[in-house]
Amino acid sequence: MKALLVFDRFNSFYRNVEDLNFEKYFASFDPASRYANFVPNIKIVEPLTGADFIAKITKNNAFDIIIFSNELVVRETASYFAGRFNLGLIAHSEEILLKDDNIIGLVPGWENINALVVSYSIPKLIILKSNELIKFSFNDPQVIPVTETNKISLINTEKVIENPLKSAQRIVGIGRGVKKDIYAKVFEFARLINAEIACTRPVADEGLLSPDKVVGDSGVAVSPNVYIALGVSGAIQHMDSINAKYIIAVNIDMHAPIFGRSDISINQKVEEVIDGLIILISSHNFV
Amino acid sequence: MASKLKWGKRLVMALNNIVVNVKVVPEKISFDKDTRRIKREGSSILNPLDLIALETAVKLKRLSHASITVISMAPLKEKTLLSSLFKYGVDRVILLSDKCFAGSDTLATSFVLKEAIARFVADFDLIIQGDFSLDGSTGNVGGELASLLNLPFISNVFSIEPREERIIIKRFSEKIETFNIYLPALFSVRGDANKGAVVNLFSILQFEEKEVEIYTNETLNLPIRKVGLEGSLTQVLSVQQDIPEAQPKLIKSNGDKIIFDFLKKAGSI
Repeated sequence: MKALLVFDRFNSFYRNVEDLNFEKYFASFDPASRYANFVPNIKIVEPLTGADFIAKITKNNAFDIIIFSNELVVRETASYFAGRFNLGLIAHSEEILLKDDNIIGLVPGWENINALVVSYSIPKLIILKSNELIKFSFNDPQVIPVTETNKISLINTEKVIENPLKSAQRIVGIGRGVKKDIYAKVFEFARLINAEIACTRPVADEGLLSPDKVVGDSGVAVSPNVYIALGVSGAIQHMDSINAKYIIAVNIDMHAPIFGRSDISINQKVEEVIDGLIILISSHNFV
Repeated sequence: MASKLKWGKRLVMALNNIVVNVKVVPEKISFDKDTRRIKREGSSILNPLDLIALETAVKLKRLSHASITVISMAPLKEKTLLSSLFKYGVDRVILLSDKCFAGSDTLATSFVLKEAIARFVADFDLIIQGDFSLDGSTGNVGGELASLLNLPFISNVFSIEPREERIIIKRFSEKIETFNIYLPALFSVRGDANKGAVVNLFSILQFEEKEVEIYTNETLNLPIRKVGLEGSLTQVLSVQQDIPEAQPKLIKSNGDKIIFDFLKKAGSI
């Protein structure tokens, strides 16, 4: 099988397919990349040009599978390319499995429910997780001239102020198991221990906390000393972005998958534990 | 962080028709261990990020007097839920409902939406939707639909500044990127697209009685091989749930004291 692996800056998704017996080719959206077989003549910043780039590569090279990194422009390009050429796209995959010559994507969902998704189109399109650059060496990547659209243009870029969660040493993570009416208490607890507040994506999607607070695939990766997970089920999309020395989990559900990852596992109601903690810490500080 | 939504004082006359795609999602899902299938529980809700897209459209309407059309592909029973959107300034609600649409993957869904938009709101200027749906989380439909309609597409948008026949949008990538986009276009919004904005949906309640327009495939007349399960090029083979056995180390009482002692020892308090 012949595979095209498409990325912008990060190609660590390669690790997921390293052992699969594919003939692998790499395409980067960065014209200066030395880690790809194919590069464009200009930096690709939006999906119309991205789809044009992939279309030109695949015109003269038949691939059985095109694997896209989960970087923003690459993800956008994958869906745009799928629409343009009427191809099935398996998004948000954690892993690629091969079974009876079928390529299957393992897609994590809500409540730790994983779906095994198959695509019937050729080439098969799949988006795989990727967070870092693996340095390959290629001699003289082939430069693919792309046609820029006049419908859309990037006119400015500004640095993003670093999210304080990235450097926080103590984080209190809020999951769907925390009732809205105790948020104030949780914030007070976080303030008392000088911790940053974080949350899972469903909590932000419901508008309860800002998307800047999301830890996970679609948010930030964190590496605190201690992560106190309140009402967090432990979905892989969230947990894979936590590199904490200690994880303390509080969850009323004794089957919550987070208990498979936590150092201290409290199977009690969040409100009960938080009420107690506020009293204990406040009296300790008072003394 | 860059400033949030900027709204010019002048009317943006070029915006006449805004389409907002809204997905109906289950309030909660769970895994049935016996049938090994996903169960939808509780009532249906409107996908939260799509409501943020709608709020964005409502603000644009205030600037331009554009008409807002909400399109949703959902079972007939969701008519009541969708009709609640009229209260927030939506002019038309189109419900695409047919048994043959059931089981559509993202591309088949995008195909139905594209055909419906081309037929019922052909003169649209802008399509807005949420980045992801709460249940599927694929984020595919935006790019696929934009591509089928040959429109420019940008996701993860948090700021929109209309400028007559174009819009200036800002989005988070590694950096904050500002794009100039000529209309018509499609963009999807992230969760904080409206943070700091003055207007909210409830502030413009309208009480005009309107009816949800319902179209089945009898009207759309789409080939069955392109919609529903049959038209889907991806398919869920099976679902599984990772449930670890109950941990022997689970602490059932005095959790507060145990965490307190840990934090004290670690010097956090």
